[in-house]
Amino acid sequence: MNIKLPLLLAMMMLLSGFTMSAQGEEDDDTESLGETSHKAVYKKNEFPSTQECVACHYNHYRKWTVSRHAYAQISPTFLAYQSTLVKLTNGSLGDFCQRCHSQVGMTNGEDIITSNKNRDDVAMEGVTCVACHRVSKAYGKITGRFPLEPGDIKQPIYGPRPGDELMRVLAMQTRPLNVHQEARHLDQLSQPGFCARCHDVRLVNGFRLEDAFSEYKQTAAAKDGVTCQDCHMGPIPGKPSQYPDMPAAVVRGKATRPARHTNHMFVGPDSSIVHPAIFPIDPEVREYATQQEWLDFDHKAGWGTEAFEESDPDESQFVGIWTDVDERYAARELIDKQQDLLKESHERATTLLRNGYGLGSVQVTNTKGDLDFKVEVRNLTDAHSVPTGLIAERNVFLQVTVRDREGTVVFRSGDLDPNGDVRDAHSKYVHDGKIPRDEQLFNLRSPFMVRNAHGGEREQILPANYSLDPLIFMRPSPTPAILFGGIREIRLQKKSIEAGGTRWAKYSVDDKLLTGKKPYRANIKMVAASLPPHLIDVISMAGFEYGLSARDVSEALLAQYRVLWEKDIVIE
Amino acid sequence: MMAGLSGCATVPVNKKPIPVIPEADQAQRTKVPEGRGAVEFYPVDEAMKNDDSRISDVVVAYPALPIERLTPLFELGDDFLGNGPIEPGIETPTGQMLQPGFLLYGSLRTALQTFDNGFGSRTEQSNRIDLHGNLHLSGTERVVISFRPLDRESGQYTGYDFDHSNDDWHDEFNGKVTRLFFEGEFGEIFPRLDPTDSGTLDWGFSVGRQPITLQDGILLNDTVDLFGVTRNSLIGDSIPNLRFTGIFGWNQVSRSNTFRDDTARLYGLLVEADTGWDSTMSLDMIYVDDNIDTGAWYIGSGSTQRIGTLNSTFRVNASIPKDNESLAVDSGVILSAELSQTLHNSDNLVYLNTYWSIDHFTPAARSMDAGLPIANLGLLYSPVGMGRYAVPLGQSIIDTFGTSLGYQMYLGGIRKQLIVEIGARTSTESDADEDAYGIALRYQQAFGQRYLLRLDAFAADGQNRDTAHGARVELMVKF
Repeated sequence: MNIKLPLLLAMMMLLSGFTMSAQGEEDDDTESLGETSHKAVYKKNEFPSTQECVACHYNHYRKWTVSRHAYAQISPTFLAYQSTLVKLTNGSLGDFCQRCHSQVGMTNGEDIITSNKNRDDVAMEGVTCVACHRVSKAYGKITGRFPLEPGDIKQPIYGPRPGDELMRVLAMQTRPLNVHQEARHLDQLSQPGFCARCHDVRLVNGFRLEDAFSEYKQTAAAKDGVTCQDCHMGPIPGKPSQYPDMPAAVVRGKATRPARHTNHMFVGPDSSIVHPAIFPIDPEVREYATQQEWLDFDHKAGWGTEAFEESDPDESQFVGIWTDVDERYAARELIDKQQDLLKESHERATTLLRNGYGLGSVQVTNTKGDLDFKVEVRNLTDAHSVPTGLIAERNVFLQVTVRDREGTVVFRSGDLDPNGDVRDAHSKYVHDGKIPRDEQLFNLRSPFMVRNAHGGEREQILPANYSLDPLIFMRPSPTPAILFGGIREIRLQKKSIEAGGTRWAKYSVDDKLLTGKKPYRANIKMVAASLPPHLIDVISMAGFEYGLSARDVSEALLAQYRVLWEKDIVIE
Repeated sequence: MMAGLSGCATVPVNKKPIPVIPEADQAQRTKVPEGRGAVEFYPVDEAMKNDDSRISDVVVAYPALPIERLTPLFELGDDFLGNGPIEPGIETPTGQMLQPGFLLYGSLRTALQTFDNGFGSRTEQSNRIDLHGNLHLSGTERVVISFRPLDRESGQYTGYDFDHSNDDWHDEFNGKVTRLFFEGEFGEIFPRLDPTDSGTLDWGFSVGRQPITLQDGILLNDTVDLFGVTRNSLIGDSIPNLRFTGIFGWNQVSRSNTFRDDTARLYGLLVEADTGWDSTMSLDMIYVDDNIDTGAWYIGSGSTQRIGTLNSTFRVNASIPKDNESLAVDSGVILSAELSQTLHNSDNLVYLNTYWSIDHFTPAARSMDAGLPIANLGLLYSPVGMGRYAVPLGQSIIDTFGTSLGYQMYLGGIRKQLIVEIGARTSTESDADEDAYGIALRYQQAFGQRYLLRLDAFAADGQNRDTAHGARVELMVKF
């Protein structure tokens, strides 16, 4: 018997066991975690804050403060989602999600999972200025793992054109400017490939989570040279457009020469669900009160408005600084300003969505016996599918209600359960057998499909396959994942509408449901939602920041369901 | 088109003019009906609105699931999915940025297993290490190398055989490279060929010794020396995603007799599409040219969809020899259906899988340890991948019909699960007596962040043999 082999085995077991037990000790020692978190706070941040950039770039800054980029690290749903996935993968997912959402925080070595209150202010800025403008090279589809050049505000930044204008401005100054002393040209900043660094997401195990950029490359828009920036940083959200040239900066009161202007609001389907004092990012608001004090400020009840304050409110509801009515009035002014900005962003996002989704014709195909009709849903863009990006969490669906002459509902589809979920198999009410599944639901959400140990594939809410293996591990796939468009264990089944494409939502009303009281009237709504409540439910085990319950989150999301288009037809 | 300092960026020659819109920000704000009052709800009574299906209103403070990054056994370069600065990397002459990093990972499995396959019994302690090295070069480019230093695909293993008085210890320590391939994307390697990203150079490819599995392993399940090229994320009318893959295998093609055939050449065109009809369809066409056995065509197609809440995958696979049939290359068809259903109020799954093998289907290529072409249909048909442990219903499937009915149950979360399965198979030839049936169980439980315990047991009867049975316990360590 060869003694070397048992020895080898024993060593491997020991080595693995050692690593595990060391890890286990860390898991059990929450104090150790806390200490690590606080250490992260004390680490020196090597990157300038947006608060330094605003001095010259107010126009860009203002729009960025309410952007999804600025929201990236604040988002309670993101934090809960990634924390859930890191836990499910036994820590092996590492900083995969967190890296994109806080490049500065991860570069500075902050803890991957920790409360936002332990993070540095610049890390909390999410996709902040330096996340795009301190990257020196043209990286490819790198899923967010690119380096930032460290250094204070005086270090070079990278922009879409050469730094001649900066040189001219600097040369005019009689006293030194505390700004970047060099602006280097990074051509990729103006190209779609720049966005692809984060918006074409492939997990290390080969699973393709997002392929917005890869989609784009196959489209007519790409052939025409229309870029992501043309539609998402121009004046008309979702359509190629550009602003007249404008100054990129105002330095000591003097505007720089006009150049191509871009909108850094980056509107998208998601909107903030946190207290308006926390987002948009505004240092004035943050300095006015602590985070907890702001969370205590009940802006929804009308605190600080004349109508509320003159209604003789119950004083016992006010705590801390808010017992002072003047503080409430002052706070309300700040909140109103924040809400105006949120409203602007939200309404521009609605424009974006209406430029992406179209409700076409409605055709009645049968009125003898059953009532059959179909509704045309169109992708109005030629640049990518809709939805795109995180398509597994993007509900865009039709609500169809048919009533008879007397207003009695004879058919409905696309209606919601009490949580706000469409009645698909993931709705808690449907899953629990309390209400029926919506068999004719038209929803463009693309499901995660996981391969069962046996029994084909099934839809699953979370992108983690625990059917094959109860010990999920995130490691590079040992199979050629690019060649097969991903891995066998898990995939997305795309249900989006391809660029410029059309789908027909088909409905059939059983003749047993028809009352005969004609004419029937069908109301059709196209609804755009963001994260579905069933997802909020499964990630709620990780907890939510800012004192939110899962229901608070789902209700806030539900409040943002938009009826993009609506049609009424009469069926004789 | 652009004034002032604009126009410095690289612009495609054919770029469409982009209209200039003055002062449009306010005009581009749109209000639509929103929120609870704007959408329709399914009518339920008040009690149901607040029952246990309602999302919880309990505040759970974040982070309620603290966990640290799991440190790999060995890594070079930037930490694998770790926090901290990322190195800028190296720019290649083609303009691509490479950020090399190496990760060693894999699993160690050790099992004690005993079984009687109806013709004889065996008790063994077997071991297996799957060791993978991943040389990361960029977001798309990498080199993978793999070893199985303690066992071989032929079933030989390093471990202890309790049934033999001589040479009880088996030593199969080896340094054979089981996989070695490079994969990447052409457009990423040569970014300067398409600086405006307006072209379609994102052709993916891989070259080297690599595993390939088609049609759930029925059509092909082997590790082959091959070159493959692919186009993904394509679109078509009512097709939101379409992939075309072409492959050429020149070595290590194990035909159906599972012997490595270095003269065989494998050519394939593989197509997969997500369709606007809520399904995923695939069509794989393979031709194998061979100096030893006859050449043959292999065609497989599959469709995956939900019928109501029933998960379903249907497949048809066929082998069509060009000339004379042989043990390794024969003509036949396998029809298969995989059905499953998630049960109400749980994550538990019931599955029912069936196959019908007409004549003698032979896969295009199949490695020795891959088991039957229908291995994925159930515990009763699949090998455990270690030692010589029996496949309960593992006999030839020529002209047979078989099924498996299983229940996968999660026990208090995802880290403990039990699968119970029954199954049977029978010959479709009237004069054959090949009926067999069996039961199999698998219990799995994760411990800590790296350990997995697996228990298996089976019993099977019929097919002109004594009752077969077996049990095993396995410990897996992932690193």
